[in-house]
Amino acid sequence: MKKIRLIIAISLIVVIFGGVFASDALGFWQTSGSRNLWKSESSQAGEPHEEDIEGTDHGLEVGGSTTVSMALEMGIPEDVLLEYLGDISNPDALVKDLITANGYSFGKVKGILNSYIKID
Amino acid sequence: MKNKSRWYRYALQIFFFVFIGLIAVNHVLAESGKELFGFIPSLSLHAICPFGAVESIISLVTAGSLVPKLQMSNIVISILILFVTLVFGAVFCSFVCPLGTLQEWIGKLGKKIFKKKYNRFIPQKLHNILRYFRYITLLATIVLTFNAGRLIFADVDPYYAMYHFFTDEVTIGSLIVLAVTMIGSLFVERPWCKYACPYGAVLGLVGKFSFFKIRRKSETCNSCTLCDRQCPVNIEISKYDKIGHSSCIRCMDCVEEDSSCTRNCLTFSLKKEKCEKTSKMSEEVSAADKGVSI
Repeated sequence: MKKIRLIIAISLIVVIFGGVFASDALGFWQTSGSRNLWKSESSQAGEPHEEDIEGTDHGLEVGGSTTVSMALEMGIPEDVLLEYLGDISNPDALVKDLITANGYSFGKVKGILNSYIKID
Repeated sequence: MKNKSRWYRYALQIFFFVFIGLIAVNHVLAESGKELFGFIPSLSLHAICPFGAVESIISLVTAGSLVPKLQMSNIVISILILFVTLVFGAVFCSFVCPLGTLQEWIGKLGKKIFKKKYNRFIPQKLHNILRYFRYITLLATIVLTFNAGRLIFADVDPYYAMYHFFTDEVTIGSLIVLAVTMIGSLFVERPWCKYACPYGAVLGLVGKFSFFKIRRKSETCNSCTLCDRQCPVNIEISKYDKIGHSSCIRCMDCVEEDSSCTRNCLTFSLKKEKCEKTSKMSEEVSAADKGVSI
């Protein structure tokens, strides 16, 4: 019986970590921006789909994969973005990166930004 | 240390408990511009939750998309766990799940306080009814997640609350559920797993079809029910020949060398082991019954 328990423990480690590494190598291991799984090909490159934007109760939320252009599309005012992000000239830059580079806590600022999101 | 083999499970539980904790802490720190452990990924726990793919199953099938905060990684993890479950049963619950580990640790304190009364507070008949509640939780989670288009279960998820209780991302509801689970663990073993866990419900159902199962040698078993009393999830093991019960978490407590079974009637195997020495075992059993040692 000792062997069975050891086999289970090793199997779990091998399958979980091995599976993650293998899927990463194959390009399946995506931990951000992969919400729309088999429809993303139809969306135009560089143009965010509404489904690709993180969501809250009303469907939209600033998250780790939100870019500057997505944030503007959500209706967050430009001056607010300038205040917390600093430089917003690159529409593809991640909001999270700019906030932390500006010395703010992303966890706190995203709450502030989310409060500006316009609901249509 | 009575039984070293039990420690393989404990070691894995501790590893995942700490590892997932470090990922969660790293993620919170990364959001504020810091990162404590460079060698540990700073991922959102939502993105590596195996239950994520199940929660999002309707939108995944109908629209090919996941609800917000879930990622492709959820599907990968879910498939890997389902594969292991199909081979060994719901070992994820007993070897990996950090919430199960926490309940087990608190349960050890409960065992010291209540001794033999521990895990016996809920009558078996009531338990047999209550355990179906986790299927209701599962169905409700899937349907409500689809309707709301967001991770509605996060509002009451004790697992997420356990690792994020110090942040403002946690809802009061999930903190209450976590507190109730922890207090309940003092009286009942793994109350969340037995009565409410929607992912446990999924793994339990898949585990019913697992290749490896706990099997009882009815030839030597005298149905003393000692194994029933030892089972953390209150399965009446002595009533089955093949324990493919959906509640079984494959903790192996009933098949340990130091389990309550004095006749080694329980095995964990692919198929039923033939009793090669049935006649000799029967002699040993009858001798044991008479208090004679061979």
